Amino acid sequence: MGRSVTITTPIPTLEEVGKRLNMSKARQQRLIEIVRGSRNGQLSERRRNVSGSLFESKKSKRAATR
Amino acid sequence: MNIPYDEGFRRLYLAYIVGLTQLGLEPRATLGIPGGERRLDRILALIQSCRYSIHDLSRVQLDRNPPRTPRFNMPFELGLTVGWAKLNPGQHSWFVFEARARRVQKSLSDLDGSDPNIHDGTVEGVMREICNAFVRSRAARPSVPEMMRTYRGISRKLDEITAAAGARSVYEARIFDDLCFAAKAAISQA
Repeated sequence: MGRSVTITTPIPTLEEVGKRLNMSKARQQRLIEIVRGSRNGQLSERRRNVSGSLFESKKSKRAATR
Repeated sequence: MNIPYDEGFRRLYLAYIVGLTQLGLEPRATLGIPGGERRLDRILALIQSCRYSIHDLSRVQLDRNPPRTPRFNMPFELGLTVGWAKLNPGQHSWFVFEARARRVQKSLSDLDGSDPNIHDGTVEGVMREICNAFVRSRAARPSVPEMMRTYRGISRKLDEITAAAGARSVYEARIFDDLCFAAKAAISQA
């Protein structure tokens, strides 16, 4: 039994977690809205020590190109 | 996560998901594995695919449903894990979590000489012991109060997350995935 272990693996981003769980963007969006409240279709994320890391849903990309 | 799937464990189940996610780990449980294979094969595959495992042995009492029996699943899966880790040195680290100090010495004396992590049956205790077991560099290390804030936020949304999935129980595979993602979303927002 380990007493403690030091973790050095990188912390996954929200997008990576969604992919790993094989979740559709729509399902991710729905959960984000529940947890954070609606954000106009844009999924935003801040990584530690990285400012303004964003990824957009298809919905917001479509809106931006219109 | 080798934990009991019962309603009395809901709070600690959510605590494990939130705490491990906040430490940058990706929780896995037999719940999250697609069905179809024999359950034991799924469990073995899950153990082999994980670098770390937590075995919560706090549910040692008899269950309420007749015929009343203790739950052997958690210690059985711990045994499988210990065997796997012994046969594959350096590939897997396992941890035993318990609610009460010194109870494992009685319920599973084969583990004598090993110190379980005692969470006192509380959410805060689970967060504290997760932090004791898994250490990150200072810059990436969350505090227990930070983890508790995330836990409370997700706990408030638990019914909504369950309803959105059309699930009856938090122990369904889909809800497990949803909770892992929701926890990550809440943490990323903070």
